[in-house]
Amino acid sequence: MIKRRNFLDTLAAGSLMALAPLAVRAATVNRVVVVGGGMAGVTAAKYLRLWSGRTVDVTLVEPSTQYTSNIMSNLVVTGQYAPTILNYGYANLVRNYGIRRLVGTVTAVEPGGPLGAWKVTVVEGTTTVVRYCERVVLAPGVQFDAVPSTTNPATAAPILHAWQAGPQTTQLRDHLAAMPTTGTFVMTIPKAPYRCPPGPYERACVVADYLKRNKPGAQVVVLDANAGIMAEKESFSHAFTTLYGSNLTYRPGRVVKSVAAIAGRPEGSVVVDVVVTDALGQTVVMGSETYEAQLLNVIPPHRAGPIAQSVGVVDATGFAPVDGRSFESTVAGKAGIHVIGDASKTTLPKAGHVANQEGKICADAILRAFSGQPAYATPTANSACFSPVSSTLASWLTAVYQYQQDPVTGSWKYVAMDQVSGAAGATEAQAASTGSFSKMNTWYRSLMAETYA
Amino acid sequence: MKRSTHHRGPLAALLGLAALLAAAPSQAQTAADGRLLASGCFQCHGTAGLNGGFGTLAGVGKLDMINKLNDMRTKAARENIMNPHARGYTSEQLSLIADYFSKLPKP
Repeated sequence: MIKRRNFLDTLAAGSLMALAPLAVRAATVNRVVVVGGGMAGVTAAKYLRLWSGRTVDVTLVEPSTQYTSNIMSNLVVTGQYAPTILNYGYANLVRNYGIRRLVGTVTAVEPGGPLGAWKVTVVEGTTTVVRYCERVVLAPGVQFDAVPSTTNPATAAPILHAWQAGPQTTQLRDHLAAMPTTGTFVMTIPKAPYRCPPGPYERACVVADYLKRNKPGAQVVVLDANAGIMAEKESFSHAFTTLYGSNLTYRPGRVVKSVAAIAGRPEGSVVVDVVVTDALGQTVVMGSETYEAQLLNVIPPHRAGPIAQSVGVVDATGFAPVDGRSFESTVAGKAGIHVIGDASKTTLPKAGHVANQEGKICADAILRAFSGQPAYATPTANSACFSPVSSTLASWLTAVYQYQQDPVTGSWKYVAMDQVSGAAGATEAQAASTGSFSKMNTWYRSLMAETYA
Repeated sequence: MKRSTHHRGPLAALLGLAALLAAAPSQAQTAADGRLLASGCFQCHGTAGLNGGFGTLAGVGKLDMINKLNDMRTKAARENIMNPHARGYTSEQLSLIADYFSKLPKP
């Protein structure tokens, strides 16, 4: 039991703290280390500074000198946009908000002892630096699972996924441009959850559109590990059957087993299990198929980035379970470590627009914690996104997610619901249009300015 | 309401104040809640409702914004991307969001 005298002393100390001059407070400045300079990480760093009136010390650790956006990268694959439109640097964030920057890789996050809650070790070139902090925000994105080689299943096959924008994006673009006019482009989609639910279908559409215009004899084959289209079902079904009815084949229930390919070469073959879900919800393998491709684009299943694995904040799914109010890890012994963006495990979609919001929810919760307040109990996030379905048409998809308690199970999660009609789930555009294509460009510019400036 | 006879004296007063603060969020707390909710608009309308690609929200009158959002709530969700946004928040949330933007200076 707390003693009355101590309780009052604590309160008095707290109120004196609030009146203490800046010099005294400087000794107790709150520090946060943000690991990962993608959409989630930089937004958390920006808002920790902005919303604290620059009183919180924020260090952003990221080994790359610039971010390469996954959003819009499918239009770089088709050659419609230059790769440079994907590049965003960190200088604006450092200048505008006073974020400290370490161009390095985090190798350890350990309890910090008397010097701070957590000790973060960063390898920066040839030097190792250590940062102590009260909170750690991990935003490492995803890593891709190895895919067995068909000829030697004990080894990993070389994979061209282009699902992490960068060198693979332009490699896929170059292979596509060089593809034989009667070739087949085979792409595979992993089981959900994966990064950007509409993304693979968007890629299938814009590649089919490119081939229709440039290589009329070529075909697209889409092999989906899921039982059906995972996002914007109506828009993409419509595009697959009408716009690309002559050059695109969509096959759901195809789970990649192995790949035969040579690193740097476009062609290859993929072996898939044909799966169906029976009446009891069990997955049943009906057989296997092999697809030959002149250009093979396999998107493997993913999991949270390496640092989330080594820090021990992931569960058996490979992603990090978090409290949706703060994105603080719910793993025992990891209090004060937050995981945001594609690495976290919530019911929110893994997408850049949402990752930006997760950064703000996390930053707000950390700032409240620094002032002794609990996180906002019912945060919201919306998923607004535009997807091209051709070089001139785009669709859109959105949902407002409310953090709420399930009345049946009692568990808290983000749920998308129309508050007027009560309809659950996301809303997609009535139809793809040129107007939405133009709005897509505006949306991208706005989102990236909000995140990187 | 029955008055408790326990915890008299300064501690009781402090506890009572703490309970009151917990029950009724302060103005600052409500503002912080509104800011967090409104931050979901920043991706398209710019940081703090400025310099976005889809119109400035900073300094828009509260009633103006609520009227616009309520109008969107009556429209078919799939006609315009803003309709499902207006329909996805509760009226109380829309009010907090509108209040936040209305208190920012007009650019």
